[in-house]
Amino acid sequence: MSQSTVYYLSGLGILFFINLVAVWGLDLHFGFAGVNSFAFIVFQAVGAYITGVFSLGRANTPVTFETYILGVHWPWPLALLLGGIAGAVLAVPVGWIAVRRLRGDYQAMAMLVLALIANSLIAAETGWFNGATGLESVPQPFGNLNVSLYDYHWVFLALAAICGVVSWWIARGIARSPLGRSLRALRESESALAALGRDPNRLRTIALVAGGFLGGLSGGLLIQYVQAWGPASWLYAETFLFFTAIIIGGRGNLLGTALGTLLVPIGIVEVTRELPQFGYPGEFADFQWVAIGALMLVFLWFRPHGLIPERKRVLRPRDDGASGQEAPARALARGSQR
Amino acid sequence: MKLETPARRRATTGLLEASSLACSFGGVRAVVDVSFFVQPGTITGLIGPNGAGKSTVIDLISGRARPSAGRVRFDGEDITASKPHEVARRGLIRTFQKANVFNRLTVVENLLMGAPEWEGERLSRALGPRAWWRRGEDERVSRAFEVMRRFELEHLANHYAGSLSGGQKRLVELMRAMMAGPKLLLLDEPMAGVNPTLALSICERLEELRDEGMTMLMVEHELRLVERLCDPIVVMAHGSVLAEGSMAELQANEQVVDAYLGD
Repeated sequence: MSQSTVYYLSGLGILFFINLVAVWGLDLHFGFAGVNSFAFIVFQAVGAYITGVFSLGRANTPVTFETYILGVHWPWPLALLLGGIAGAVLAVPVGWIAVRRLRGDYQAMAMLVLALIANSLIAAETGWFNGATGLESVPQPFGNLNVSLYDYHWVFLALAAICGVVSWWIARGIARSPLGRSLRALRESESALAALGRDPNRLRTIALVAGGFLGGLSGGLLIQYVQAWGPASWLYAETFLFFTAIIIGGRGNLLGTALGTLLVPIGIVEVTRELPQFGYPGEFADFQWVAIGALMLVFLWFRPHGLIPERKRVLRPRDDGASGQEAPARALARGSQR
Repeated sequence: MKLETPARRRATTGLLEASSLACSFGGVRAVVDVSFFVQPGTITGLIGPNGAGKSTVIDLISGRARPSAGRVRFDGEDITASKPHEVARRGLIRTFQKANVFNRLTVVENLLMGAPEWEGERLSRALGPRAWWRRGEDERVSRAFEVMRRFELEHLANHYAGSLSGGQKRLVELMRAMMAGPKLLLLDEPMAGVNPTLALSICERLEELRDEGMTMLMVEHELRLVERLCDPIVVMAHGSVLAEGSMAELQANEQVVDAYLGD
C-alpha cells in the first residue's frame, strides 16, 4: 500500500472513532432512554468549542481578528475532558427546557428548534466563539512531537481509539446494568415506570448527561483533529447522520450502532468522497444526503430494528439450585412421554 | 350533606382515605365530590356506569391527575398531589386500564422493574464492574422467578412482554405489582379484554392475595366477579359516590339499581 493510502485509511479510522463516540452518546439518548434528541449535534458543538477555547490561548484580536471567551492554553487532555464535561453540563438545561414536559413529536420539534437557535446564536454572537468564522488553528495533542504528518496520524488514531474504549466502557456499563434496564423501561412506557416508583425525569437526565458527555468528548476530539470549528460544521442536519447510523445499525445495540457508524458517516459520507465527482460543484454532496435520507426511510419501513437488533437479555435464576435441576427433570419427563 | 355519605358513617379510619375529591378537565367535572375509605385486608370495589369518574379517581389517588379540591391520605400521610413515583414509593402500586407493560423488555425484566428501586440502579454502579450490582440483581431475578412460578408463567419468563396476549399482559402487570410488595394495590379494570377462563384465573389469584392480607381497590365492570371479590363496594355515578355496601345491600338500594345495576 502506498503511503498516501495508509494515510487515508488511518484518517478514516480516526473519523470512525470520533463518530463512534458521538453515535454511542446518541444511542444512550435515543436508543436506550427513548429521547428524540434531535439537538444532539449541539452537544458535539459545545464540546468542540470548549476544548477549543481551553487550548487556543488568549485571542490576539489585533492580529488575527479573532474574538472568543476564556482563551487559555491548558494541557490538551484537560481541554478534551472539559469538552466532554461541557456536553454533560449542557444536558441539564436541555433536559429542563425540551424534555421535561414535552413528549413524542413535540419533544422532537423542540429539540430541532433548539439546535437551530443555538447555531444561529453562536453564528451571530461574534464575542463568544468568533461568530460565523469560528475557531481555527487549535493546537493538536502531542503537537510538539517531532514526527511526520503520516506518523502523526497513527498517534491520533491511538488517542481516538482510547476515547472509543472509554465510551464503550461508559455505554456498555450502562447498557448491561440495572440502570440500562430502567432506561429501556423509560423508553417503553414512562407511565408504567413512574407507577413503579422510578422518577422518569431523573432517569432521563442521567441518560442525557451520560450521552451528552460522549457527545462533548467527540466534539473535543474532532476539533483537535481538524483544528477548526465553526457554525457550518454543526448544522442541525448533521444530527441525522448519527440517527441514520443508529437506525441502520440497530438502536440499543452497541455493536449494531458501531456497524452503523462504519456504514453511514464513514461509508457513505467519507469513502464516497473518493468517487469521481459529477454535475455542478456540490451536487455530489447533495446526493449523499439523498442517499442517507432514502436509506433511513428504507430501514424504518423494512427493518426498523436495524442490521443488528437490540439483544434480548435472557435471565435465569442463578443461586436457585432447585430450578436448575428442574429443567433436566422436565426434559426427561417429556422424553419418557414420547 | 357531605357527612351523610355512608362511607363517613361506617368507617373512622382506613389505609386509604379519599375525602371530597374533585377534578375537572376543561370544564367537564369528571369527579365532583368523592369520599371513601379502604380498610386494610379488604378488596374494595369501585363500580359505576361509564363516565362515572372511576378511572379519574384512580388517577387522582395515584398522582397521575391533580385534584382541584379534596385530600388523599395513605397509610397515615397526606399524599394529595404527590407525583406518581412518590406515591408508588410509599407502597401504593397501581395497574392501568389498558395493559401497560414494557413491550421490548422480557417478562422477567418487567418483573424486575417492579422491585423497589435500589442502589444497583445507580449510574456509579453501572460504570463499575458487574460485581457491583450482580448479587442484588441475582436476588431479584430469583424472586421474580418465584412470583412467575406461583402464577404458572415461568415458561414465558424470557419472552418479550409485547409478544404476549392481552390477558397475559394483565398477569405480567399483576406479577410486576407483586414484586413491589405493595401495601395497597389499585387495579383499574384488571379483567378488561381478558377471556373468561383467564379472568377466572386472575380472580383466583386476587382472592389468594386478599386471603394473605393484601389490600386492594379495584375498578371493574364484570359484576359477577365484583360480587365474588369485593366487599365493600363503592358505587359512583356522575362523579359522585352514590352508595356503599356489600353487593346484597346495593341490590336492595333502589337508587343504585336505577343508576347502574338496572337490568
